[in-house]
Amino acid sequence: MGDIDVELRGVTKRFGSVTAVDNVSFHIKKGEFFSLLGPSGCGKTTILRMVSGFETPTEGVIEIGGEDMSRRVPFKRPTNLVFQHLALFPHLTVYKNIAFGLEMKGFSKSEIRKRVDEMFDLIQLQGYAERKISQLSGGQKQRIAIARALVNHPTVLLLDEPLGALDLKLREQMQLELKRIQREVGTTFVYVTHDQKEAITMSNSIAVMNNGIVEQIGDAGEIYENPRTVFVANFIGETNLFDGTVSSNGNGAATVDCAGLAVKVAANGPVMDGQRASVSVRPEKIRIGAGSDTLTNSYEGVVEDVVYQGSTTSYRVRLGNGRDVNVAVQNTERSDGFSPGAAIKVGWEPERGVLIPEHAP
Amino acid sequence: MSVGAEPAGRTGAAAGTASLFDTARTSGKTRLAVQLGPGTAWLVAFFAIPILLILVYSFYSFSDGQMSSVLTLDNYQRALGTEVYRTVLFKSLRYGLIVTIACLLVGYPVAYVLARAGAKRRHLLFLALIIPFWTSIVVRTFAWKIMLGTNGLVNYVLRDLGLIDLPVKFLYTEQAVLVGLTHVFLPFMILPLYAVLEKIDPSLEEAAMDLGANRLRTFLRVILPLSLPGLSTGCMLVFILTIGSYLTPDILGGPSELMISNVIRNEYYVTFNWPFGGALASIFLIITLAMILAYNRAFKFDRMAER
Repeated sequence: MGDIDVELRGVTKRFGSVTAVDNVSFHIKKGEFFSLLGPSGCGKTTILRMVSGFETPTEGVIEIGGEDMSRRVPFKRPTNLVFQHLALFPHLTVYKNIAFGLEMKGFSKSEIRKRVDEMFDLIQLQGYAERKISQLSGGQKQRIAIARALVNHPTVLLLDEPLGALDLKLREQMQLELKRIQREVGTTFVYVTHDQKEAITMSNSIAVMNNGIVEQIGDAGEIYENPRTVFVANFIGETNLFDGTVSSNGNGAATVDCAGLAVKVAANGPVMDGQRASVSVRPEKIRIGAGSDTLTNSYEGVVEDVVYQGSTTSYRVRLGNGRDVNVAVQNTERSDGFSPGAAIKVGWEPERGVLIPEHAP
Repeated sequence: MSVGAEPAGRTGAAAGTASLFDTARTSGKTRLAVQLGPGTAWLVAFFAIPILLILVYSFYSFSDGQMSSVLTLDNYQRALGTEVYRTVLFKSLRYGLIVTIACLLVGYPVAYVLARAGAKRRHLLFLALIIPFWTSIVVRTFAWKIMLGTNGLVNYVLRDLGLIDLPVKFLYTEQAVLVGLTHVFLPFMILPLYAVLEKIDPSLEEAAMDLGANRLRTFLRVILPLSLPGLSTGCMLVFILTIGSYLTPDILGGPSELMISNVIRNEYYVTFNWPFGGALASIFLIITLAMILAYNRAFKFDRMAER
């Protein structure tokens, strides 16, 4: 257990009749950048608040560094939280804000100065010590909030959508900054976000949540390439979902009949004929036009819509059975592409799709 | 509200009525005069002039029940030189201090609970706080008389519980006056405190706790400093209202528990010695103003307003 920092076992949280978190279990390794990803109201913030001690689980156990946290008040936990709206103390200077936690723990003045200075180096805001919080920009406040938490050397740093209020450019800059800080200090980060792009760029490990349960845990690649539920496939990136029933399977392959369209797909797990299942195919994995007619899954269609997006062009193609598929094509060469109304072929190999069998309810 | 701006205000008010409905053409100066004029006129007529009169009369002489315009400093000499008046003055200031502290101790937790209560509960609590305001202060103070009297509710309960044999004399004591004053002025402490506490983001408390501060230190290091503007306003209001209070000591204190306002009133309406009453009032006014100035400086009001 030495390399595990946080462990949740069967954690449930109910607010009255509402179940915010439903029997969640997972563990976070030491030094990991772990993201809790999901739409708002999925329970991710509740989990964070339970780890930091501001909420108590209705059922289940939360361990940090191998110790049960059930009876620990927030101010005695080895965690620190970066709040969604930062919650910097407006009546204190930047220095006093960062020093707050150390002062509470009774460190000597010289030790506090040393550690706060280290933080100023880490967040690259030397010379801001005597500023007032109201004199800082959004990105600077962000960094102060992170420093105020990290200066206490927590076992786990918890971040509750701290970049939510920033504009896109600053947000991307802060993502890199956070990643750098995490690499330098090596602390375990637990990051709550609803932004799948943010989670993918930053995390070693992502837990995708929906309606209080964890749908899937894995690294960014696994979650994107191998979604295990329809929700994950839809929530992470864009995808084309073909719903239907399994018409044949065997030898690691299956065919799903989707409203008259036979879609062949690689099958890693056990499936049965007649089972309901979906096939998820990412838009960039579908070929369009030349060369697509020799592929295993190859269909005729008509271009309905073309959206030029700079590095890619996105096509919406209506297939023979009236279904639309989205196809994304890299604009590696300057080409005129296809115009709406053009009759073309689209196709992909079975291993480009992912088979998601429907779970027994 | 300066007196110097008044003449402009008055002429402006007359000229302003004609162009009042012609806002587009009303110049900034005229509009200002229209807006400030009535208030300024009112204050001058019913506040500045009477105060000046009191000040002037305080230098008049008084003998054989007659006031004459022979100027003298006797009234001030008597007011400051007589033990009784000094005692009453200091007692009023002491009451002000005690009642302010009592209101702060009782009012702060109430304001905090109000500020952190859910919307529905908050409405109920506010109603409970405001409803007493709808009744006259005289009625509320008489209610205390019924509570604290020899056969009052408090004595009745204490006797029923077997804690006392004979009724305790609550009424017409210093304590009765202090309890009454605290009750009457408590809302003036709670409301400004509530106003600031309500604006403090609850996540600041969580942040302090997350950083290792227990409840007490969270209060001392975060909530208290952030609530200082409301706290100082509340203290100032309660202090000023208390030292000038007249009705409560009159009803609950009786003849032995006079405060400065009661003494001034007696000079005006019992002995009809307006000059001496004026001198007492002027001394009291100057002391109060000096204290407010010192208080403002200590609390650095301007700097806090900036925050």
